[in-house]
Amino acid sequence: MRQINTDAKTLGRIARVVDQKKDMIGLSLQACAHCSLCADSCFKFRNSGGDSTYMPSYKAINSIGRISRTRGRLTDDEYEDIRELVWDKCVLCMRCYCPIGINIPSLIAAARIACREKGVARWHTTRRNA
Amino acid sequence: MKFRTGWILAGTIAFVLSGTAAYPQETDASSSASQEKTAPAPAAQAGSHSSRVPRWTRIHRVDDFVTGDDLGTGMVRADKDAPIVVFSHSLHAQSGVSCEQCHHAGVKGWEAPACATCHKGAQAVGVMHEACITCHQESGKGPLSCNQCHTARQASFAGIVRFELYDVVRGPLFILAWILFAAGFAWRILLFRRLTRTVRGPKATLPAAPQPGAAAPESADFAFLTRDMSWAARLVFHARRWLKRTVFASSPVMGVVSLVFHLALFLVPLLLPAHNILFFQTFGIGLPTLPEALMDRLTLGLLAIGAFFLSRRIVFPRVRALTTVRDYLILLFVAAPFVTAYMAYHQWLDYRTVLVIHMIVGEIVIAAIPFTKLGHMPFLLFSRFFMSAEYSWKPGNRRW
Repeated sequence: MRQINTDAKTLGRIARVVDQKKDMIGLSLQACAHCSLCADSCFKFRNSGGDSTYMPSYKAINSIGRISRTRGRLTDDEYEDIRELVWDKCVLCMRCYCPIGINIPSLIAAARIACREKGVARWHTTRRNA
Repeated sequence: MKFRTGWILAGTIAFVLSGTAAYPQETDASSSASQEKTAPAPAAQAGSHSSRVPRWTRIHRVDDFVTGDDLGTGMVRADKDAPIVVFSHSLHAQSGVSCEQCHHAGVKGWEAPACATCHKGAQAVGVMHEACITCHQESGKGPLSCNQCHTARQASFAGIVRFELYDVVRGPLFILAWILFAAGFAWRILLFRRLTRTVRGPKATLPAAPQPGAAAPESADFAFLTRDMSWAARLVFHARRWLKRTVFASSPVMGVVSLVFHLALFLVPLLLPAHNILFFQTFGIGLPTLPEALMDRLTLGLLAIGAFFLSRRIVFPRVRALTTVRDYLILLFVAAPFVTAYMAYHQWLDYRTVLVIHMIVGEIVIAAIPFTKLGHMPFLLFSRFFMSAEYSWKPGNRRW
């Protein structure tokens, strides 16, 4: 059983963030053809030795994609994974390149906003043994 | 690795281009129509089948017809109780009968006057009897006795029901697919406009390399660099400078393959002779077409690239990390119309069934474009013309 350790008030705030950008998130994630061509535009990816979790598209899909799909109903561990994606693995330098023209930084930024509502941020990890 | 992919690319291009040479020229229906008009002896018919008779795949709308006033073909039966005759164009074309053997008034392009245009009413019965029976007896092929042609069984639904399905698929379903496509496309464009705002100022570019002191304007920089170059070298210089900011620099193989794939995806269906025959018959206009043989090769090329995309999804970790079941389904659905088209053209399995499946699958894909991952299609317009980004062809003036 998934343990969702987020109270209703917080969930409401996260849902509001997601709803505000619902169309942008939906349009972007639907248009993403999963082509992986954005990978080489990310210096974090290039320096990770080909770790696919550093790909801009991977980071966007697995952060704001998951949050918007579940409307924030994620476990603390999942939030921690997202925190890692949008803060540790992305510096929001806005240099990622999408051949289709999706604005990946704004997706990551939206994920950061949602995470802050949850109380997860750059230095705020919910993982006790982190 | 790079060397090998280059060879594969070169080989693919050569393969596609060789399509024109590898097949006998059969690009124009009128060329085969203008060939010999006299009916040759049966032995000669069988021998020269493939070269003289246009392939059945070409006569797309020449359906089986049924003699009988009640079916709108203009044929009147002298005896109302005689069982109806079903005539199959495909069977006759396949067994080596030329168009002109029956359509003796001449075949022009893709059109030929029907029997009932001149032979009206009861007179038609005599003419048809004479023409059919004489030919069947001379060749010794096909039905020879009365009830082999006049079969009440065939007259019921065998030929007709399928044709109605064909007509539904060709007519209302086709229109419905395009309405869904247009509506979805428009909806996405409106959504995009709502989500972006107009920006004023220069087009966004890649950040310039840091210059010591005050940075010189770009144009002056390049004037200095290209000062001593010939015009050709200057062209190459600027082309390389432009390509450097595109996907062709970061992923050259994928960039080229994807460009060829997407171009062919549009051009093959649009410039295919068979599709333009349908356009012409429906709207009275058609686009210029490319040879069928070339289209055949391009279709194979498309499917090969589809296989490349599929293997990429399976093999490369970075693509696999993003891949979901939907991505495989989309690949399958995009490939399906081309597979069925190839099968229909080469008459694998039952032509009619394959053709109807081809049309249905094609219509599903057209309608699904704005509502699935294929919805990245309208983004070509956005990202190349409207968005303010380094990859836009026109200075984009909108931003997320």
